[in-house]
Amino acid sequence: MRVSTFLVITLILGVLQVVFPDYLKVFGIKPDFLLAAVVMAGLFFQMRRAVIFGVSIGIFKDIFSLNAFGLNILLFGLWAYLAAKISRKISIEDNITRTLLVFVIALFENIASGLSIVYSGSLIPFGIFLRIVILGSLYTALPFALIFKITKIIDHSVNYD
Amino acid sequence: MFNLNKKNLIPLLAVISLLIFLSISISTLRRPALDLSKEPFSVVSWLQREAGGIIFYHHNLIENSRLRKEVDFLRYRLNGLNEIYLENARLKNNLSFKQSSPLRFVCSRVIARSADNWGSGLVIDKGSSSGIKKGMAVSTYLGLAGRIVETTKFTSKVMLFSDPNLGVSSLVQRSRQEGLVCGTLGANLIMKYLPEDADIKLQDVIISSGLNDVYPKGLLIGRVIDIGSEFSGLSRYAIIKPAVNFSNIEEVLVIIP
Repeated sequence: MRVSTFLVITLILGVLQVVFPDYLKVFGIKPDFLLAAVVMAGLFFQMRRAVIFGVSIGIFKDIFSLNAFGLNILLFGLWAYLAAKISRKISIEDNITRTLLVFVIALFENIASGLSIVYSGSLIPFGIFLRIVILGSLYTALPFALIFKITKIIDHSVNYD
Repeated sequence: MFNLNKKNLIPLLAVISLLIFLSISISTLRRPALDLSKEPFSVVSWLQREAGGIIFYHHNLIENSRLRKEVDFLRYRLNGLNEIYLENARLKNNLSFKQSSPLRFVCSRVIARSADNWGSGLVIDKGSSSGIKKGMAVSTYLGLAGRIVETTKFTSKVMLFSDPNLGVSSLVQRSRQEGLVCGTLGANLIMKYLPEDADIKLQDVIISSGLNDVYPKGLLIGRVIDIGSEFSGLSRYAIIKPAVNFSNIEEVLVIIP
């Protein structure tokens, strides 16, 4: 995948997630498109580039978050690293496996973020915690197949031109 | 998968240290980044508003005619209330009550929102150059909405009441029962630390108590929709339906004390 295509797609996803979250909400949950972009970086770029993209996207997300500590900088860097490592070890070519990988990473991301809030002393009802962890992860993973397809079409047309 | 030797260890530790440094210094990084993002996000949110106006034209037309009727009705009610207000002011004056200072507001537009599901926040297009400071209360026309947690020169970050990190001392309007209202990340709020014999009923109105300097007394928070007992059995809690719909706030009023 071309870096320019990835950057444009990530920028669009970032704007969608930050400016239009209300239109994307289902059961009060919004998808984490930026996390999907990080996994995409891990799958399609070399390790070093993937980690740099992961950390940069983490910085972007943390700029708009309310936490004093930039958790996403650490986590997104880690997810990009792990996705890059896994894609070198196992061949991940079909969209279903990629979507499954996004779901698993989103699950870990949501559990880590949720636990960091719970351990900082805030009370989150268990039902809401589970809803965000499970539905949030599903909702992050499911559009990924579509995002990947669009990215592939754009990338292909740019290469063809 | 992970082969750690001396050669790999030093660069790995350097990268991890750099990431931890970045994580800790994120609040410093945020200020210039938020200031820089004001213009592009303002343009995008303007486009969103205009596009919404075109797409939902028919819906807006019907809503407009309904709202016009409601405005007429409220004007009629307001006339009556104005009389009561003036009478109240006269009586207070006669009784030499200390007059509370009128609130001053800075009206601001929402340009971005929190990017994750684990926090509830907004970025608004006014900052310290408009007199906004960290800790100021934020409301909408419907009721109390949140608190300023960070300001830059031209933007500010608002933590909404639906965020579990924010609590406000509040009162049941009818019985003056005190409690602490916190967010749950869901659609409703929770009022905690109510004694077992608390005088609270369904549909009671909850307002800010004014016990701290940040939130003025009497601002509407919401209505009680459920009451329950804590697991310990020592206290009760109430579920509050907020007056403000936190997911579709477009403009806010920052309260200048």
